[in-house]
Amino acid sequence: MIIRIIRSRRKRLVLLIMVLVLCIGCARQMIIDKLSIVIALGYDQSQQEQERIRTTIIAYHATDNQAKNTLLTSASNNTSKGVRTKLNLKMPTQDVIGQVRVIAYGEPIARKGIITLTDTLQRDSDIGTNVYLAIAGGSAEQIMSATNKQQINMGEYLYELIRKNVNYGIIPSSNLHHFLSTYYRGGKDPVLPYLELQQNEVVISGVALMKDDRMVGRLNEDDCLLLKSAMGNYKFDSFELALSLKESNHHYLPRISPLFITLTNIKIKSNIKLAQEEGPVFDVRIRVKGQLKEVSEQIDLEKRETIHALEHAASRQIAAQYEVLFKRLQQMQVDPIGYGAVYRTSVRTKQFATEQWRDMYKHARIRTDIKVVFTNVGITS
Amino acid sequence: MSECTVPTRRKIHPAFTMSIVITSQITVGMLAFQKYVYKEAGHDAWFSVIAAGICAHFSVFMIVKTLSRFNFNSLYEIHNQLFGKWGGSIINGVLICYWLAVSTYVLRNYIEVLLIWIFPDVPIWVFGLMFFVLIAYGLAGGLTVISVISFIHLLLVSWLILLLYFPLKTADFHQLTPVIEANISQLFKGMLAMGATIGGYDVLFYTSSHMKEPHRIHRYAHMALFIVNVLYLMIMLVSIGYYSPKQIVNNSWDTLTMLKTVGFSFLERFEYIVIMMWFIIVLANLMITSWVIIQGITRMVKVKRKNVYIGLCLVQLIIIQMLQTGDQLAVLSNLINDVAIFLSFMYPFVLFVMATIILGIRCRRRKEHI
Repeated sequence: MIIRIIRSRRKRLVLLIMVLVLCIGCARQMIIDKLSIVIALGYDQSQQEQERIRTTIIAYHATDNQAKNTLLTSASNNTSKGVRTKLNLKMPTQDVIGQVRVIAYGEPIARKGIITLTDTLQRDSDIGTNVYLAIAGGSAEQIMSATNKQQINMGEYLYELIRKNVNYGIIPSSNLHHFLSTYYRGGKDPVLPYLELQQNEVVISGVALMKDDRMVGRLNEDDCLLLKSAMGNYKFDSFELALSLKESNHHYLPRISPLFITLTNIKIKSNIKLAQEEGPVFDVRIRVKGQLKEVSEQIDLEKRETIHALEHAASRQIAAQYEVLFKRLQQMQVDPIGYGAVYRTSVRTKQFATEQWRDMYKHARIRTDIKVVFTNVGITS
Repeated sequence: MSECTVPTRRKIHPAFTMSIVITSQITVGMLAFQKYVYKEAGHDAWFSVIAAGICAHFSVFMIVKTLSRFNFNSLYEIHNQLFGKWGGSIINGVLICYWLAVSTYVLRNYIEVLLIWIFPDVPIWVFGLMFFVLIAYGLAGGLTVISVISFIHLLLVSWLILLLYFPLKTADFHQLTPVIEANISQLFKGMLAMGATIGGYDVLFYTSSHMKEPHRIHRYAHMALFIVNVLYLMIMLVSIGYYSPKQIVNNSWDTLTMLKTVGFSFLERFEYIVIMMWFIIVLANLMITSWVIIQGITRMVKVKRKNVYIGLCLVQLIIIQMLQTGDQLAVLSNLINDVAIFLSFMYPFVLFVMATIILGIRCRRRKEHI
């Protein structure tokens, strides 16, 4: 009796071990020392006739020499995944794509459309949705093979550069999820940070405006902040405004133009509402709260009236800039702020197509209601 | 009758109905149900989820009502009593086939997740064997062990609900407006698409005979169902806010893709943890369905439970190995959804009406004889 139990137990054990052994043998081995961990990907238009896409990768792989653990290589093929076959012929180590953080598209290819290249990313379960997308002025290969002063891995450099400016700065969020959800949402166009090489240094020089998946224009840094502040509630580090006070009738303020003021620790709340279905007319409400830290002229800020006058001038200035920006976006037929999306969620319409919205967008008008409040102007010490 | 009564010693507390019902409802369906509902009802899909939940509450009510008429016997026994030995066996056979299809589908679908996300080059049967060994452990202990396992596994997984905070951060709930744009038929179709996802609470039919005070299961069953409904509603709302319409429809694993955004400095991609945690939920679920199948077969034919289980494993192994592509899985999924709508939502009502008629006729005949 006892022997039988032991036997059956042994049988069970053997069965278990068999299963475990099978499991070990089946999955592919991935030893981290023998992998190239791809950090950044770049896509460009291929120069050759017979191939469509040139892909550049920045990969990390373990070497004895700490300074030389970055690998930069590129290859061309017709599809972005097909390139990997060719890249593998160039690399002794297995490339893994799960740690990709930045994907850059060269400007020429971005002007033709990038949706097929981003669509493949969402089909790949290896790639996360927190990957940053960016447009590279010139070509992605050029940006990725540039050096930086800190001498760190260029992929990481780009990642930190974009991440910081998206989280705390003036660049609207540009990760894969945001890009795709904006692209697929009717009545809203994505924006991506625009990377440029200036004096051998990679900088973000604004945002690229996308019409669907094609890049159609750019905004510089000043407009970036206005754009982002209209897109939702954000916090910014600082914001410089040029006030023109020449024709102002405030007797509290000097007639100087331009007068520069800088706000810090800014909190922006914005809200867009559809005011009239016919037209359509939108109400844009933006509230800016910030500390006044710097004024380019000596102004007596002790009087409450002076501060109010400054606040008023700043509000008008932002409103004027915003109207100009809106006109520009209308001319370019792009809607990164998402007026179309607001229209879609406010009106009961079964047929809402992006094409139809583009026609309406031409005639859309906005009514701005912008208020700047200085939370603090005092000297802290 | 005597062969089916469970000794009191082996009966379990009726509160375990909760864990059993929840685990049999939550499976791979929770990872990917949004797409099917959204396709039908658009951004009002959340309304369909609520409607399906309310219907489920009604059918649970009917299930318990029917059970109380038959002294909380299992459904197999009820069929035998109502339709005689032969008629009952045929219906029981159909039910067993349904449960077999469901458990095979759940197993294969979960393996599909593993194949897509983590181990693309491991053969299907290896995962199958791993599951079979672990399920055998639960079955060896009977429903007592299975109910405790399902309870513990639920506790282990329950914290995952907190992860919804991350997609919630970037969600835009303006996408829910304008409310109720879909018409009634679209909402109804969306409700039907929830069928297989929300179904599974009909295990009540089989487990009630193992409960200590079976009349108390009613409350617990409704509580379990309510929790599951709230869970589905939450996930649906967050998904509608997080995704754009076209994204939600194109994505095969909406919940998992949504959790791709969860990242910590020590762990960048959290959905891998979720997938592995889901293993234990699927395991508990498969234990319950296997138990239901084996109960049915051993009631029909005199075979040892162990041999039935070995046969079951072989059949499942062959089927999961045969299902190689996503298309085949989708066909099976649609089929199961249709059957589940009937068996989970409609059958309790049908059975109740049939039971009333048949018992009424028998009662009258008996009176005439007297």
